[in-house]
Amino acid sequence: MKEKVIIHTVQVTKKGEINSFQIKLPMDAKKIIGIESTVKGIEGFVGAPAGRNMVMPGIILPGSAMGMAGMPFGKIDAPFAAAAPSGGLFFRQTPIAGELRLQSQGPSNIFYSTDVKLTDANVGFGDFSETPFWKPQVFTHGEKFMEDIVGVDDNSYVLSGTYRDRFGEERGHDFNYRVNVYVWYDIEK
Amino acid sequence: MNKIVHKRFDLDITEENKAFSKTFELDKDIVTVKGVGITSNRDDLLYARGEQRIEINREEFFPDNYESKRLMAGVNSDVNMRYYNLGDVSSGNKSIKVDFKDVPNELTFFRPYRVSYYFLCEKTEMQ
Repeated sequence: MKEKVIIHTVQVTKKGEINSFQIKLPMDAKKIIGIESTVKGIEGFVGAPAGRNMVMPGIILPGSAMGMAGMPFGKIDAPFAAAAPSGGLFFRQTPIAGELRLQSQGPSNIFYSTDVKLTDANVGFGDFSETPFWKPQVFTHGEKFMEDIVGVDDNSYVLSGTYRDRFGEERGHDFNYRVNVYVWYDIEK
Repeated sequence: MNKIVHKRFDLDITEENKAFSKTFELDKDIVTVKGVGITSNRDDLLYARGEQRIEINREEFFPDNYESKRLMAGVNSDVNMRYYNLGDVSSGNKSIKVDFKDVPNELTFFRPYRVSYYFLCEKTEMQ
């Protein structure tokens, strides 16, 4: 068996938009083995306030480098702690672009459902290399991308999908962005 | 006995919103390509703007619009795990073709940047 990937792009223009689409798989696709999804066009809004709960209150751990005015730092040496003056231990909510569902025409039916995330908002969590002028980014500290593993061998060559925008809906504004859906499948060698 | 080698090929992205195509030649003694990884001198631009199609030995492995960020790995990845695993792909005619596309993104301002493709290869011992 050999892996291949097909990409389907969903264009979103309106807030709360529900987009239905079909993904046609090649006839040599034997089994769907993985799904990934990414967002392009609104990544810059990561960390921007989105209503009531975009930024979670900071979690102050006892004995952590977070410290508070007048409180001694804990087990982590002061130089490391000083490198994170704004608090390296603020946990931020990862913004969600929308909801994706995929359905096979066979017995697997709706086999995949996920929240499509913009990016990892906490990529620098607990990383004390952060300074007021620089903080860890996804392109410096990000983990390797991996697909969500599925196993669908329905011999269904058309997948039905729906994508529902949550990003624009939560902010009450139309955003123009696209969602890429990667479908990994096995073929006979 | 076969040896593992790392090959690097560079692609200069000099203009915004444009496609760049280049074919790289592997050494004759390379028999398989095992992995691929991408870096840049401007990781932020590559991450937000880069898309490409890659074909090895005339066989497509990553289709059009495959985002570069999916082949990047940050410092939190184990150094031995930074290549995207391709299995054992026969190097065949020893050519790797890359069609790179710079896609404007509001996050970034364009500056010329370099994209470096790293291929993890296996080569035979030449007698």
